[in-house]
Amino acid sequence: MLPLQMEDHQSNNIKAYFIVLIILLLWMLSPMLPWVLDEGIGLLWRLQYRYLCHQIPDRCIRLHGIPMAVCERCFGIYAGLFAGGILYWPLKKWDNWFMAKARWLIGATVLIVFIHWAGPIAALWEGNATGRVITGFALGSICGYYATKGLSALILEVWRIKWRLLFQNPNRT
Amino acid sequence: MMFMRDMSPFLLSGLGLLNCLMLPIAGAFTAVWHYNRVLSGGAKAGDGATLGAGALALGSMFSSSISYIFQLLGLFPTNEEIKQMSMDMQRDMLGKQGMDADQIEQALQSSQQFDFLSNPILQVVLGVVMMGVIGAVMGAIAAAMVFKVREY
Repeated sequence: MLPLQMEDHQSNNIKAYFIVLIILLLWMLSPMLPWVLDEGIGLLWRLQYRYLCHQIPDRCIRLHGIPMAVCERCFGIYAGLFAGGILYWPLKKWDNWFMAKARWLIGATVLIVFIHWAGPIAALWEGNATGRVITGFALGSICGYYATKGLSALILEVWRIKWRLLFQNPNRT
Repeated sequence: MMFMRDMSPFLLSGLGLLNCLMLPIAGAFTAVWHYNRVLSGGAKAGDGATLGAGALALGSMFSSSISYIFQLLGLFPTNEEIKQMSMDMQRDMLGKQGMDADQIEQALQSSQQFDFLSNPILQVVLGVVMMGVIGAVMGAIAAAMVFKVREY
């Protein structure tokens, strides 16, 4: 009985992990929708991202003259979140280290983004698209590891609760 | 149009340049931090993601409700005014993108086909779903930084 339960648990873990990866992939791809959508709906789609990003057109990656819905740095973060999600599974064996160093890792990458952002303001160097994408990607990939772990746990919890509500005998204490 | 009711506080506050993922991070982080403080570090698996999702989804609903009440009281723009603001924003966005006046008007006419998206109920549902997903991600990240229980 126990090995079967363990097998189920492992299978659920993998399913939850893939659901998280799909969510993060969609999150990464969705700012690109204006590139493929009809002009009108693409415009409305871009408008929704005003919540999350300044969307300065010069700071957005363009395809055929149409800017992405978010800026280069935000796209770097979203791409990094997905990359961090992919790396979560192979890196899981060092999870204790990652959890213990979470503040340092996130803090260090936030600092890198901040320095890259502040440099041009202080006239120390000129900002560039590659730098914005790379620094955003660094922050996103670290955050992606923790986001994947937390979201997988959330999905497993939802399944567990649903399972209990649907199949557990309510009269059993 | 879509979410414009929710967006009006942002528009009014002029936080456009500061809200680059900062508001969802701050919301989710505050919820996780407070929960952890109340439980004295005894949080369990997935709590961060759940809290973040709940905080932002509820926040989105709350924001919609408050905005609706403010609209009724005449403190917020009406739906027609919001629609006009949306059109102006779209015009501004396309202008910055480098389009000329004719192209902008053509694009705006094209976007009018999707007027059904301005349905208030649809706006609230989409807002809750989007903010829920964003909150879950941000809550999970915040939990990694805040929770003392490392096996979360």
